[in-house]
Amino acid sequence: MNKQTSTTTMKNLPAYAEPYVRSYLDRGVSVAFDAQYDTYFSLYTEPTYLDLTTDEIDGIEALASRARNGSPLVIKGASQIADTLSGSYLEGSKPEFQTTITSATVKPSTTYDSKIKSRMGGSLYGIGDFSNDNLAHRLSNNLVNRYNEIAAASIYKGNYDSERNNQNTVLPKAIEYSKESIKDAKYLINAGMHRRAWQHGQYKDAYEKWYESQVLITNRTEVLGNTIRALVGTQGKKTTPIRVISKAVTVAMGAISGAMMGLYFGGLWGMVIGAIVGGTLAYFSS
Amino acid sequence: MGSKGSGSNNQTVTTNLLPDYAQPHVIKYLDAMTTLSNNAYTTYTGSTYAAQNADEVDGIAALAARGRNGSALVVSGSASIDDILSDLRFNTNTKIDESYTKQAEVFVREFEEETLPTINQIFNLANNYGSMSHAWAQAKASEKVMFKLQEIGMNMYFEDYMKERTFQISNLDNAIIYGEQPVNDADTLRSAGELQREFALGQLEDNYKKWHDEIIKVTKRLELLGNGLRTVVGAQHEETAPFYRPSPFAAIAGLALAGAGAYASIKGVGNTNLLNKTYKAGDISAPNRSDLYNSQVNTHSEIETFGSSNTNNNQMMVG
Repeated sequence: MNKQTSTTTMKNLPAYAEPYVRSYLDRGVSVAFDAQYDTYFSLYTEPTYLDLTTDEIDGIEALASRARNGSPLVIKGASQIADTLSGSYLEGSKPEFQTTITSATVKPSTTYDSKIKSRMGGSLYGIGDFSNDNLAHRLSNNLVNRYNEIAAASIYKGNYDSERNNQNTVLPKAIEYSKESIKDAKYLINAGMHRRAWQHGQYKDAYEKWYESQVLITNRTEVLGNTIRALVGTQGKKTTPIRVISKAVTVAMGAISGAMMGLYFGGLWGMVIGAIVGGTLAYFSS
Repeated sequence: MGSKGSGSNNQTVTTNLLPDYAQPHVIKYLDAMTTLSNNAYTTYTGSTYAAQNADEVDGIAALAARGRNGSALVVSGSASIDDILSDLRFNTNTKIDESYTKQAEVFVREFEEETLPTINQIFNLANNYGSMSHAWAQAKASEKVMFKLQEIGMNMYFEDYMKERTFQISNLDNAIIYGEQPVNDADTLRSAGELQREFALGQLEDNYKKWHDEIIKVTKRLELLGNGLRTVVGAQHEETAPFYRPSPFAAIAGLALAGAGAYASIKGVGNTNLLNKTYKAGDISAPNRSDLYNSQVNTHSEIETFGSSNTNNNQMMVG
């Protein structure tokens, strides 16, 4: 047996469409390679990303600064809560409180001395009292101090009661204030994220520009690629191997056939002649 | 192609996947796409990005100013809370002294105009004026006034202190709220800047899109034709393949063999008496084994058919 091939041709495009295909292919080649189309495959040179504005920069910095340093008000409030809870106000040792006690005792004392005590006493015109001093004054000498002490004690006690109540009141506020550091941390993160988001955008823009420069040539070549892809399948050739009987076998078979025929018609000589004739015919017909 | 000498021709099978009546339309379509691929996609000359209007511009500016400068009210409120929490508001009540004085006056006048004259009169009528009892009565009366004055003093000054402490405690919540205002201001300022930048960035993106539209025009036009052709691909399938048949020589040889065989069978042509002959060794005319076999078969056939002809013998052999 001999190996030979058989070729089958296929077309998937109507004949009337072939001129269009050729035109399309020619134009694809031209767009991909001709200089006249260079401008259509150039890089964009104008700006595509902007710097942060001054307002953004200042805003982000203010946010970061506020977050990093905390709020002065919150710091003072937290200090108040800490002092209250630690009992700093209970004993009334704060200067402001001492001033209050002074005011609350000195004023009545002054009033008493200047407007009450000064009017007390009496002239000696009757029998009995020979002393020269003012007995009423002497009797009220310790009065101011005693009442000042009473007042101070009362104020201290009132302050203590009040501050105990304050300690109770600020307990839930302490929880709220404790969250402020978390808020500050989040503000700081936000400030950082705003800045990073902008920078990330800048990197992304730079990458896109770089990528466009990288694919520019490829994209242009792919114009031709697309045209070619459109043609894929429009025509095909299929070559398949086939097996045919070899010439020697064909000749042998022809000779045998001829010999058989010759044997019938002419005996042995007929067989010989038939074999020769049959083989020859088979040789030329194969 | 087939082997040399064999009889082979090509045969073409065409399958139309589109109705014949559609062919003119297809051509028209391809013509139209060709035309479009040369002049489609003109440049758009209208506006594609709107400028910021006055409200936006003013709004963004106001937002930025508010964020940068803060609110006057918030600034005042913050300052107030700051003073309160910094203990600066203790003992600053400017009205308290006057209030104390006015309230004290009531008792002072009462003492001057009622209490003291009454005591003096009583002790005068009893001829004890200036006596120790008189002094004692005055002192006791003054003590009551002192008690009242202390009460007023406590009420005025200690209550003022207590109120201030209450303000400190109650403003702890406000401190948190006011403390967040700088955050709001900062974010407001940043937002104003971001709005402005996003608008400008949108303008840049619009410019890029316009440029890109121009750049891509050539390829898009070309692909119009490409798409048109892709539509047509597969509309018709044509397959040309070799068709194999016997060569003329082979056909003639085959026919000759068949005819000869038939003739021999019918006419009885051929030597059937090979067994009757004597052959010497080396004689090329000696029959082969098949000949001998055929002769024996014929002999048996004659016996079975009681002297039938050679024709019948050959028929058996063929069969």
